[in-house]
Amino acid sequence: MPDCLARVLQLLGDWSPMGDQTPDEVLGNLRQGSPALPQRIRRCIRWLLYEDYAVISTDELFMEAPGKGPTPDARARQLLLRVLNPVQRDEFSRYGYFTVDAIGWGRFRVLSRTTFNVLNTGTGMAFCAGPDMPVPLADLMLAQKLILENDPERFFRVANHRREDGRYCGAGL
Amino acid sequence: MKILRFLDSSGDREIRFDDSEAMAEAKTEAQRQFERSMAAGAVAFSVNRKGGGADQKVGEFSALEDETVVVPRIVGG
Repeated sequence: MPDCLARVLQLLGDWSPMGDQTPDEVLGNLRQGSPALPQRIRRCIRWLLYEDYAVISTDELFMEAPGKGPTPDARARQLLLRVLNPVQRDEFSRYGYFTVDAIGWGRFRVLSRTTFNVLNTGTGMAFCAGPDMPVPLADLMLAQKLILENDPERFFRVANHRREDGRYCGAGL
Repeated sequence: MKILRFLDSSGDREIRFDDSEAMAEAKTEAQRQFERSMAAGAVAFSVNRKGGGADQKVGEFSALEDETVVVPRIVGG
């Protein structure tokens, strides 16, 4: 979290009737719902977090009405944007995909779709694997990023794969 | 304050806890759910780490850092 944003959140926390909140707690509470927060401050916080306005709308970043939580898709997108590194975040906001390096396996593009969305940028081979329960698309992409970057064997052990021409090749490598 | 996020159909389910007495119950629940998930084949990663460190796989509850994402068991799609 940028120092300037931490300071802003600290000030907001000091004004909060609950008091004694860390900047992370203040931000979490704001995201869970703070209808009185002026739109100008929401925009300011969004800029401090992401700099690029196009990355996320204030509606996605904050709840718009009391008692109405962010949708699963919005929650998942918030989390994905916070975990992507700056280069991946920029790629994702511009093109809807991001690139990950899987050590020993190559470079892969994670596309915004639910099947065969992990593409080897060198061979064109497409891979398909994800959580064993339904999750929002952004959570699927986040899971794939984390596993490809930190535990790629786990991914390729179970992933189905097919060639660029769409011909199915098999399961696991 | 530590945050555990379990990916699920709601986007993510979050448990916040620390080592204080006031949060002992939350910490116990966090540990129970973490260990149950790991036993079911989930994998956990420390994210948004201090000093801008790269995300890191984590296997033990005692090793959790400030923010952890728990990914359910993955299967071929």
